[in-house]
Amino acid sequence: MFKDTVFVASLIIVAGFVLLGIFDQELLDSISTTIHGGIIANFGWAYLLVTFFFLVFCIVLALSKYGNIKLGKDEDRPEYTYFGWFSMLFAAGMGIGLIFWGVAEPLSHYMQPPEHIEKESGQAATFAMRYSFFHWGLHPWAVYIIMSMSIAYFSFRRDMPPLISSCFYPLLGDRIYGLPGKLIDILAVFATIFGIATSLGLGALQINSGLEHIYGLPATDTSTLLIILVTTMLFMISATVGLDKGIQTLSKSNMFLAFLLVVFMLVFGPTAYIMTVFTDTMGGYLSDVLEMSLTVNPFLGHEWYKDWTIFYWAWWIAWSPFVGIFVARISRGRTIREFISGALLVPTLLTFIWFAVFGGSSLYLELEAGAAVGGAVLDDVSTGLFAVFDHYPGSIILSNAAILLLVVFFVTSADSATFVLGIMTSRGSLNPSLGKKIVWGVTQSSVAAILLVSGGLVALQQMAITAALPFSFVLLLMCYNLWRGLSAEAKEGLNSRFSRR
Amino acid sequence: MFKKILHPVDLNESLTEIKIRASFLYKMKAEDMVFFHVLNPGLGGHKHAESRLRHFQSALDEVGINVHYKVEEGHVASEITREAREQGADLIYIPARGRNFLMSSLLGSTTQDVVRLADSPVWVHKKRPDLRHEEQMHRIVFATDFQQAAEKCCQPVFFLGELVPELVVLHVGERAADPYSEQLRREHVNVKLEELKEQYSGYYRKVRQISRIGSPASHILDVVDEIQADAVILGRLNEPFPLHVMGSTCARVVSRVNSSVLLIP
Repeated sequence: MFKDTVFVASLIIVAGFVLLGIFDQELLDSISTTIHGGIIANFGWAYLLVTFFFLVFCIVLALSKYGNIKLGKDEDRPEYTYFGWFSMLFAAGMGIGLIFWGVAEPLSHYMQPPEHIEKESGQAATFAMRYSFFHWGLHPWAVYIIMSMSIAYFSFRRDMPPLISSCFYPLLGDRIYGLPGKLIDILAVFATIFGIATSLGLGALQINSGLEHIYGLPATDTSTLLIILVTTMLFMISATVGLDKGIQTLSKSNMFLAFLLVVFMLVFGPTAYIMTVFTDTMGGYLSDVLEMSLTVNPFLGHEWYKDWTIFYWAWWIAWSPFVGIFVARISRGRTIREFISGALLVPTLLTFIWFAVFGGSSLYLELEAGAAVGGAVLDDVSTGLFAVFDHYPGSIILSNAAILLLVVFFVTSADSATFVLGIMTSRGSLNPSLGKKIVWGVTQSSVAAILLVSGGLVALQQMAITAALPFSFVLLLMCYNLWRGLSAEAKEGLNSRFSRR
Repeated sequence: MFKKILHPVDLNESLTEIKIRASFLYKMKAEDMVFFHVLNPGLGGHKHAESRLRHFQSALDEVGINVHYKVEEGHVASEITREAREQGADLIYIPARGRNFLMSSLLGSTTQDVVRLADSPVWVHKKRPDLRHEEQMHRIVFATDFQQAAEKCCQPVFFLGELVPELVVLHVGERAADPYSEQLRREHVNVKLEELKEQYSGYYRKVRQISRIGSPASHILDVVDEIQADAVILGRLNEPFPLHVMGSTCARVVSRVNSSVLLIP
């Protein structure tokens, strides 16, 4: 095998798709729409089943006797404080998405719920909040946890490179160094680069609409490209500084900024209303989570579930290699129980607060104050947040803060993505060379930029999501492999039974 | 070793077959043999069965084994295992008629039930060795997991050395979870297999070892088929609650292998 098979093969695949996007965008569109539509229509049910299984698996594992096993050697201690760890978890896992959808998702569901719910009704509002919690709650984190825990276990405890293929050793043995292992890793790179490129593209669009909203900067290709260029420079600087100083500092300050924003919205907004929404939605979520986990309403309103729930599940699964490797890297030294309970509950709770504050205040504006923010979201989802800010004191400062948050999340996401892509394409070295990081950094930004201009961004997102189908199997097998590894360890201790004579 | 043998028989079997088998068992140093037949409860037929078994008994006078017979009523496998226990039989010898897959999966098989219930060693005689052509066995496989179940097979493996020239010691393990542990595991397996080889080489003309990774049942079937072994020796794990949904390794080997199986519970 060539030394850099994964690196070269992934670059070629990415280049192929980008060229297709430039020269024959219609073809790319039709290919991606056909594949994407086919998968969602035929395998949507499977995404719900496997995601629910992952959640159950996480809970069982945390409560099992394996919960005390460390993701690292027995003497390892966690490298990051809880605050640093949670900040980075949150930034990598949700980041830009939360700012993008914090206002837009509840309002979209409220304006356009599934057929069996009346539009713009109280019932629709309850439904909107509950499903926003659901889509961003325990399930995505369960998917991430499976991926990151397996990688962390096999790399830190069993001394293998932090690659997805490493997690397949119990099943495949030395074949992980051959074609099957390489295919898994290339698929992971493919999903990551396309996923991150679309995220960055959409993030840049929202930064642009924010700037247009406040400063009247025209939302043209040039300005969006300029935004991508500036942010690219920023994240390249952060990437050269390294993980500990760069991403951690940015993530922490972002957490702080986000916290300030939430507190401000809570205090100066309809505080009691928001807390009521939070409490009520929590209750609804807790009592309905089992039912929601497997609801696709095949007889009525199925389209809505395909567009939202199934789309999200596929997205989280496709996104999991990137988040998984990054989260694994920052979680060394924590026990399985600590890891699962931390990564499952804390980010979920933070997300709930975020949605309660932003969703709650926008529904208040729409339902009680008579402001037409829902219409603004339907027109352009990226402007929803700024439309809500307009009804608050100091809206300019708020909008600026939101843009800053977006930029920083953009930078941390892109930075961690280059880091992860570097790891994946240097056979699992935890300190990938600067050259590789730069190659991937430039690649992901240019993919985002090119497709933003040529219009293939949505097609690219759909391509990224197609990776969810094979990755569902990869994740399922990871559960099996992890269980095999853990049970072998429980049975005979780590290597002790086979001690050399 | 296997002095007293319980031999469940079907009344339809021909005298020739009974004779061929008796001479095979005689070579295995059997001294007493009990022909045993289980009737369906309440349907009668005692007399017919007894006369048939008596006929078998008298025909075997010249073979050199003491033959008795007994007829009981009840659940076939339970009666067989109970009788073996009460008589203190050293071996239950079951000639397995090859029922097809559909029949055996729908009706279950008495052999499978005996294998599951028996407290004494069971010899399931399948296609090989084909006694109509040759009584001599050429090679046997001893499948070991180095655990308690396999240790119980020690004596029978020594004993069969008097009858069979070649022994193949087979270990099927589970791959360790990382390359380093896997390397240690392999070294450990090799050391163990080497020990076993040394232990048995005084009893057999030739001893070989084979080490595989994967599902025990399918690798045992594979190896037996590959080297055309005449018999395979297995220890049975006596779990109170069998964990394998698809049946234990023993059950799967017994139902699908072409060679005979000696099962030590």
